[in-house]
Amino acid sequence: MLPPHGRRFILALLLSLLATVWSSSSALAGQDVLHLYSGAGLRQPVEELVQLFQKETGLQVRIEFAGSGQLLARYQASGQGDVFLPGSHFYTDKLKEKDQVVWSKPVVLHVPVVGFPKAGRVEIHAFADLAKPGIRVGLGDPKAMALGRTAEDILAASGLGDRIRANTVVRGATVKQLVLYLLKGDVDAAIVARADVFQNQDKLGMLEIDPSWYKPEIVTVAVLRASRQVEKAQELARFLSSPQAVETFGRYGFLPVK
Amino acid sequence: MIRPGAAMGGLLALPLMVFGLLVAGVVLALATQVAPAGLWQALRAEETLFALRFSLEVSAGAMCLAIPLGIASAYFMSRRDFPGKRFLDALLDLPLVMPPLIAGVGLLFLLGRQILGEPLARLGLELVFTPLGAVAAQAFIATPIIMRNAKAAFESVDPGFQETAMVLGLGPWRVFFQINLPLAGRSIAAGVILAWARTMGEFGATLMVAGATRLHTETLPVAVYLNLASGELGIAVSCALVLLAVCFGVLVCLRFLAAGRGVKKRSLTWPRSA
Repeated sequence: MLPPHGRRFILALLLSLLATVWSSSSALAGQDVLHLYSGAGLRQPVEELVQLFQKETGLQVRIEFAGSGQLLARYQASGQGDVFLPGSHFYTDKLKEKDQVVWSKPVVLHVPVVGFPKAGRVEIHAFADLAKPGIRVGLGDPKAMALGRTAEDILAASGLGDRIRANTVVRGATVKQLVLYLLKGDVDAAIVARADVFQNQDKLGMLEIDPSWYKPEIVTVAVLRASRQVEKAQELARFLSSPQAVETFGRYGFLPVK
Repeated sequence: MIRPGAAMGGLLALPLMVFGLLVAGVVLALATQVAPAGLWQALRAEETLFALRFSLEVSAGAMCLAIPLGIASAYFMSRRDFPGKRFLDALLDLPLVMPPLIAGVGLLFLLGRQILGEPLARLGLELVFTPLGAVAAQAFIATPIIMRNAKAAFESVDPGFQETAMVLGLGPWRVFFQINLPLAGRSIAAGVILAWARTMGEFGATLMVAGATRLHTETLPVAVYLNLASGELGIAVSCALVLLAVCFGVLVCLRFLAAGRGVKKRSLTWPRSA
């Protein structure tokens, strides 16, 4: 048995836990809060933009960051949410097929590049270097990651697919996972998003990839059918695709849609 | 067996029912997401079978590391006092409170190229991005669970047995293997089962250290994640159900095995007011 002060301590702990849970759940239950599903790779610009949006309009936005596919599954399972901003139009298209999109607009391009550590074990000068023996390549899972799918197209178009696949030591489930492997030098090169390399310019270098080898993923914003506050949701979606937003995305290495 | 008062029995059965229904509800909600035909197809898919086999192998490998590590450390900690023991004790609990993803990132940094990767590679030991890495990650998660249980078990063994054995001339190794280990065995086994179940469901640490390469380092939880991430809810849920079914089967079997050894359960009585 615990001594009395120990029991009192535990009781106090439990009570404060309950209070925290209660206060946070009542805050979350707020009606006016817009729920934004955002691709995890867009975090920095989206956080900046949403702060600005909240200041300008007084509306509250709750952002859920995760892999785009996972967010899609979350929306489909819960049937809740207002705005969807995945890293690729692939996911908004999937929702359009199911008539779950009220309004949508392309925002910026999510361009793949070959990223490599600047102080790496080997030097990467051309795309063909990925096929050299002994190079450790990281790629995204072709089903789970938008850029994993793009990477497959790139491999096929480059004509070096088999040799690069043979050099592939790891597949990532998210692009940030691959970036981490690059930063730590655990892979010599990886196909990642331009924005990721851009945001780590001090440590990572990049090689552009021939644009004819792939279809760029387009970051697309969509107002969801399930939204109970469509007008406010549309206001947020318009803001996230405005010229001002494109400029903000640009500062984080995303290219405008041509 | 003593019958409880109806009031107390009812009062205690209620939380049991609530929680039991919650767990059953979660499993049923998952199971009803997939049509039987789809489930059957997913069960026979190469990816599912690979992930199941790989999960079992990796968790078995992790237990091979975690059991001796956990039990030996626990025995030492329960039988010796030394400066900084409390500090070390708390330190060894850290993997329990670390989010597995962070444990994985930490292991990746430690085992990766920049720190231990090169020397280990020279010894022929490639851990990052390999099945061995998954074993190491899961052992890291499992060891403290085993240690925690084993330490409590060793501490609860009446020191009188040990003293008697030593007076009768048993050496320290035989005291361990013939007295302390058997007496603490049941609780240690419970900890091992808990740790094993934990490794089967482990995701974050495995993902970071071994990567998510399909048909290479793909455990069942990784398969669940990859398919969930690609919006393939059906396959994801099927893999999850396989994981749950296998673990449930093993857990039930272990309980029957433990019960079958003829240990009389003295705890099956209600506390009686004098």
